[in-house]
This record gives sequence, C-alpha cells and structure tokens, in this order.
Amino acid sequence: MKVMNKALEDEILLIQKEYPNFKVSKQVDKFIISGLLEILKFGDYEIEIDIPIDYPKSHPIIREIGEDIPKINDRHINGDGTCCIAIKYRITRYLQEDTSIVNFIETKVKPFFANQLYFEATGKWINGEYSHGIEGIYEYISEELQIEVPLIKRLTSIARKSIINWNKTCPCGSMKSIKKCHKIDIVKIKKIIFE
Amino acid sequence: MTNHEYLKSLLDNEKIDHTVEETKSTRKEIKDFLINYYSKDKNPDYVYSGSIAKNTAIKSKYDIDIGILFNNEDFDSLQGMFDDVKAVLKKEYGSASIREQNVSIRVQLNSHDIDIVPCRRIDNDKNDVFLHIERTENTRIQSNIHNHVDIVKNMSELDIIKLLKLWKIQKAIKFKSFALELLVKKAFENESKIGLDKKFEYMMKYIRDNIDTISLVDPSNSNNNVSDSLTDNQKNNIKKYAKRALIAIDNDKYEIVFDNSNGIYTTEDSVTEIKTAYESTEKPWSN
Repeated sequence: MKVMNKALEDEILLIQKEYPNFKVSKQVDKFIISGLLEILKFGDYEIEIDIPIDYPKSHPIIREIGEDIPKINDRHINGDGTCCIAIKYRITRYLQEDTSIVNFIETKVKPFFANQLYFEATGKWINGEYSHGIEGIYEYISEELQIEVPLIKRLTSIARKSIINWNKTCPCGSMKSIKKCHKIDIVKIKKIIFE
Repeated sequence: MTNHEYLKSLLDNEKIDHTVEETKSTRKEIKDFLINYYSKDKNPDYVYSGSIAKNTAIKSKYDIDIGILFNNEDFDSLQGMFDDVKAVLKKEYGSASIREQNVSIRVQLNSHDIDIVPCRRIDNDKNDVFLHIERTENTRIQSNIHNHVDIVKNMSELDIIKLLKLWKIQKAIKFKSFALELLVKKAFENESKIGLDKKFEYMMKYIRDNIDTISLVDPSNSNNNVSDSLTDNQKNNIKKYAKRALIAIDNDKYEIVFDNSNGIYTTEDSVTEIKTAYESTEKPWSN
C-alpha cells in the first residue's frame, strides 16, 4: 500500500480550512475533494478533484459532476466528466513552481469554471481557446516560441525522433545546421509534446 | 403579470385533471382484488397514500399508493409479508407488470403505476407499522402512513410543495418527496409570508442556508432522521439550484427558475465582472 506523504496531508488540511464546504475522502491512492465551487456570486458548479498520492508529479483530475456542462470537446469536458483545464505541459510547469493545491484551485480550476459561466452567457471564451488535439498544441507552442505553426510542425517531426542528427540542415530555410539554428526550439517541443 | 400571478398560473397549469380518475379507478381495481384475496384469513386494513392522498399532486407527476396494514400476527416475518403480497400480485397481474421497490411493489396496470406498500402493525389497535426494506442492510423501518398523510394534507403550504415539486422535475433534482415535505414544514414552522413569490423565494433561501446541516425527523418515528438518507451530492445539487433560482428571482426571471435549463442566469454586469476577475485565465484545450 502506498503511503501518503506528510506534505500532501498538510495540503489537504489547508483545503478543508479554506473551503469548509468541501468534503474530503481518503482512498488508497488518492484524496477526493468534492463540493460546490462558487464562482464569485454568479453560480456554482459541483466538482470533484482527485489528488493522487504522488502529487504534484501526477496531476489532479477535475470532474464536473453536476451535469451542468455538456460533456463535449467544444466545452472542454470529456465524456467521463473530466475537465481539460489547460494544456498538460502548462500544468506540469505550473506545479513545478507552486505545489499549493489551494492555489491550484484558485488559479486554474476556478478560472476554468468561470470561463464556462462566461461561455454560457456569451458563446465565447474569455481569452479564446486552443483548437482540439494536436492542432491546439501547435498553437500553444507557436505562441510560446513565437514561431509560425507550419514551421512548428516541421520542427515537431524532427523532435519526435529518438536520435536527432543536429548537423542536418534546419527545415526553416536558413541553410544553417539545426544545431546552429532551431535546436533549442526542438528541445522545447520535445519536452512539451513527447515527455 | 406579477410574480405571484405567474406562479399561480403555473399551479393552475399543473392542476390534476380528469385523467387522474382513470388512475383512481385502477387503484380501486387493485384494492378490490386485494380485499377479496386477503379477506379469507387476514383481513388487513387499507390506506391511500402518495401525493394524491396528500393533496400535493401535480399533473407533471403524481403517485397513487395503497398501504395494506396487516396485523402483527398475520405473518412470521416482514420479509414473508412482503414476499406474499408480491407473489399474490404477480399471480394476478403477471410478472412483467410487477416491480419490486424499496418498501413497495409497483403494479403497472392499464398504463398506470400503483404502488402497494405492505405494512405490519406494531400494535393491532394503532396505525404505527413496520415496513420491510428490500436491498439494504436495514431490513425494516417504522412508520405511520395515516400520520404522514394527515400531516401533509393539512399543511398550509401545499402550493409551495407543489411548486417545489415542479421545480424539482424541471431541474431533474433528485430529492425525496417526503424529505421535501418535511423541509417545507420545518421552514414555515415559525415563518409566515404573503404571496406565492415571497414564499417561494423564502424557501429557496431556506434551502440554500440550511440544507447542509438540517435535521428532518419523521414525525411518526423519532429514530428516523430522513436527512441522514440524503447524500452530499443530493444536498449540493439542490443547494446549487436554489442559489441559481435566487439569482434569477433577483433579476425578475422566474421563468428561468421553472424551465428545464440549468437555471444559470447572468446579466451583462456579471459577465463583465467575470471577465475582469478572470482576465488571465488559461485558454482551454481538449484532446
């Protein structure tokens, strides 16, 4: 049986203090937090959050259990109610810097549901949305690296290789070797998509 | 139309019409069969229960039940009593028409559903009974159907119960009718409001503020705290819809309270406030 670490147990205590209406149940391999998440004073969503015992290495799983939001890709809710609150890599990076679960709820989970409320009212997302699937990932990488999507796709096809020949000509058209051109970007793409 | 008039019109639309007479006729048919069958040796009493008996029925949903009260020596066990009634009904109406439920047996006849509740008197001179419970760890529960019916049908807030039932149906809120009746009874114990709209708004606030911790004790059985059988999900769910109803009511949007939407109402100001508060929210993405 896996042992819950003390830091995680302390985090759970903080959650109970910060959100007294949430219920917390402990299972062998995770905590489950559930309750009504209030978005300012404009609406509540019934949610469940699984915090795995190897958090933050494994990400929390958030579910909308009130059946208020259609379980479709366009609403970023999977068929089983799990929520795609952000691109996985962004969550990983966030959790590397801040492991507070309370902060995670306030800065990632609540805004996701606030965005859902906004979408209900306006038909739009507050800051737009990424396309579904890999196209969305390319869009994100394009924003991060300030490189156009077509080049991102060509760099990705190099990044997916297990052994990369850095001396090959860079596909960007510079005529330089990859090593002297977009090597750093390929390394970043590898991290975002393949790790 | 004022809000009071709007709610009144909803109630008028939900008035039970002549179709209930057909259901009552089917109920009588089943009752007559049971009287005839059990008069040979047991001679139980019968009591009508459900929302029709309690005067809380609405056209969108009503139930029409028969309690059959056996004397305490009529069967060796509550399970035996339940199984006997079930077997008798199956033989008469066919297995396909019979469905076993928690404390009752549902008979589907002439396109109507009638629930038969087998009860065993605790004291043959009184109406306190034990009911057998199927499919749970606790196998019996004490109750008093006569008492339940009398308490509810004589309440002054029957219209509020009906509106809550309609609201419950529209929003698909899972909450036992009996718990709802006790909730209304408790809410208005020391409170009086004038106007359907004021009463309904008060009830929404009462649910919002009290549902997490409320204790709803069965007046016929002080050991039965009905609120204990409500799950956290059920409490959260009804509280959520009560809060949404209050936002809609604040903005004079009663129609949103009683439509079959998720009940979320946002104004332009609230949309602006949400956008400002969450201006740096992540762009959502899905796989």
